[in-house]
Amino acid sequence: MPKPAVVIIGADKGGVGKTTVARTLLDYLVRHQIRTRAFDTEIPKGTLKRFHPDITDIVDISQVADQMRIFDTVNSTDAAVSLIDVRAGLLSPTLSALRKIGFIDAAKKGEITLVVFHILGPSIASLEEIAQTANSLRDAKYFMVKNFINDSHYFGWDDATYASYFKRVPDAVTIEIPKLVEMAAEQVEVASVPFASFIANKKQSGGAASYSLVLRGYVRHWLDNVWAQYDRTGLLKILGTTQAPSALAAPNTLPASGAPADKPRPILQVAAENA
Amino acid sequence: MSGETVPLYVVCSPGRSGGRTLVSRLLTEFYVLGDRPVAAFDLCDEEPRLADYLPHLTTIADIDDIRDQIRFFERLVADDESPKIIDVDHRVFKNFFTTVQKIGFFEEAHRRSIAPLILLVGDAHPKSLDMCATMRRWFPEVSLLPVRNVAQKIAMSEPDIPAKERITRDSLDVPSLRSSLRMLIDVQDFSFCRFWRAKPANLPDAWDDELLDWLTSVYFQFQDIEVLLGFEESWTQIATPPSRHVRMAHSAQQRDVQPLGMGKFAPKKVRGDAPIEQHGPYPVTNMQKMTVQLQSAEERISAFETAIKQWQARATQAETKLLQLIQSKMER
Repeated sequence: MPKPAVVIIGADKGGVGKTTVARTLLDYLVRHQIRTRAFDTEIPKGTLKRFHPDITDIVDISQVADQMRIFDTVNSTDAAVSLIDVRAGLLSPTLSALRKIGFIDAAKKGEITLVVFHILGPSIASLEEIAQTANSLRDAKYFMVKNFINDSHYFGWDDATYASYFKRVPDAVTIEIPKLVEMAAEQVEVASVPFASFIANKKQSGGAASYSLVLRGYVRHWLDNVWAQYDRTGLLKILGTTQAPSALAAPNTLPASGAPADKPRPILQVAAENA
Repeated sequence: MSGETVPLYVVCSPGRSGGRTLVSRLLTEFYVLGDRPVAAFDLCDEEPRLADYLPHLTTIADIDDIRDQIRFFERLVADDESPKIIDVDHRVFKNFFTTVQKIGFFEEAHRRSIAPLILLVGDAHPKSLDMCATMRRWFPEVSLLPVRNVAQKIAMSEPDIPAKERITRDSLDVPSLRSSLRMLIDVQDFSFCRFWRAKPANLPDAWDDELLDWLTSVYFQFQDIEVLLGFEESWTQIATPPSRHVRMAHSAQQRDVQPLGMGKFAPKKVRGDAPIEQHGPYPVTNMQKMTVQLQSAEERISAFETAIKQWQARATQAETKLLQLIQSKMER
């Protein structure tokens, strides 16, 4: 049995798009038919749960009972991946708590796979976050995510300064989430469905929806780019998960790139055959 | 229309190649002529534009803003079974195709049984050829046909090459047209449908014939394109207008000219054993024209035979005279 993987998504600042990144990750894992469960620490409203209600539980990460609910079941759950969307300001305390309960050590021993997605803010203060987080992480895979979806401008980063912080976390990987057209982002919010469902023009119930094809197209293009970043970093391999052979044909996910099989053939090809 | 597939024509040019709007006009009126529904969209900002020629059939569109894009692209895939024609200006070209690629519009069109066809109006410049290759790389799943607008080049005093020699199966050719006729069709209230149905007053017969031939050759190509796209029924009726039958036949005999596009655009698909009348107007029109040609050829053969007989008689006479001359000299 493959070792379980825990993905922690967080930031010490609010409004940097943690939940958006969590949603793209859940879509990515579902697309690859990887059993996943998610924990939403936005108690009590639970933003992530609104989009992925079937696989998401709302928890209070600061409570021992909920910590037990997450980490004591990592080995016993059917899910290959446990994803935790950590509320703003709680990333460092959460990592600190994980260290205390021996979870970081377990990762060090190779008993579990720990992956941290650190969503960076646009200011120099984010670099201090990296320094703090780096102290908590030794054997975790560390992703530093620049999230441009909110039209952030990473203005205050001097390359040399950035590199000095970056080096504190060995094997860290940088991911850039591109900007999504504002109206498209709004419409997915209003629809309260996963990005993949929006693209597939489906409601949360699975029934047919009537979302704008233009906005669906923009979301598809954007999500393709985000997933390309995950592919580039070898995320699936890091998580120790394997993709099911039929994963790409999974329902309620993105259609395979390119035109459908029954598309008309280009006219020149037909002409050549008839010649 | 065969099945439920609906064509979507994207008439575009990456540069200032002339004739893009002309092709859009011809296509739109091709459907109007057949009493078929059609909707045209004008993505241009230079006049004269498609909307100036066909204001009642054309919607002026914009794709700069995302709300405009939603309005425009949603309308293109509306389930109204109308063929759509988009006239894409060179200034909008990049934005249009970038957006189309970004939102996966052509894939969505295919899913909705819409068959897109890009008609790329270019010229002999290497950039046009490069763009053709680029477009094919960008949209491998979409049919693309280069358009060679000879009419425009002729208007710019290019050497007159018979149009039929330039027509090929892998392009749409708008054949040569004399400058005066070019000016006539460029007038904004000129309608190809109106011209087709009745000869304009004060237009000389020879010019009427020429323009009719020109239009026929283009419309035969449109029919051919429809066949290649998979449409085999409900073709636009493009048989020669009855009012012009007699004069056209006579003029073809006089000029001994083969109608443009003749034979080049014969249907490529065998349609079973159905009677030829069920094959639509196209073969019937061809048969009419072929009959005229056959009659003309037979008359010419007959004339040649008469001439041969005359020459043979003259040769016999000359030979006889020569022999008589030789004989008289020998007798002396």
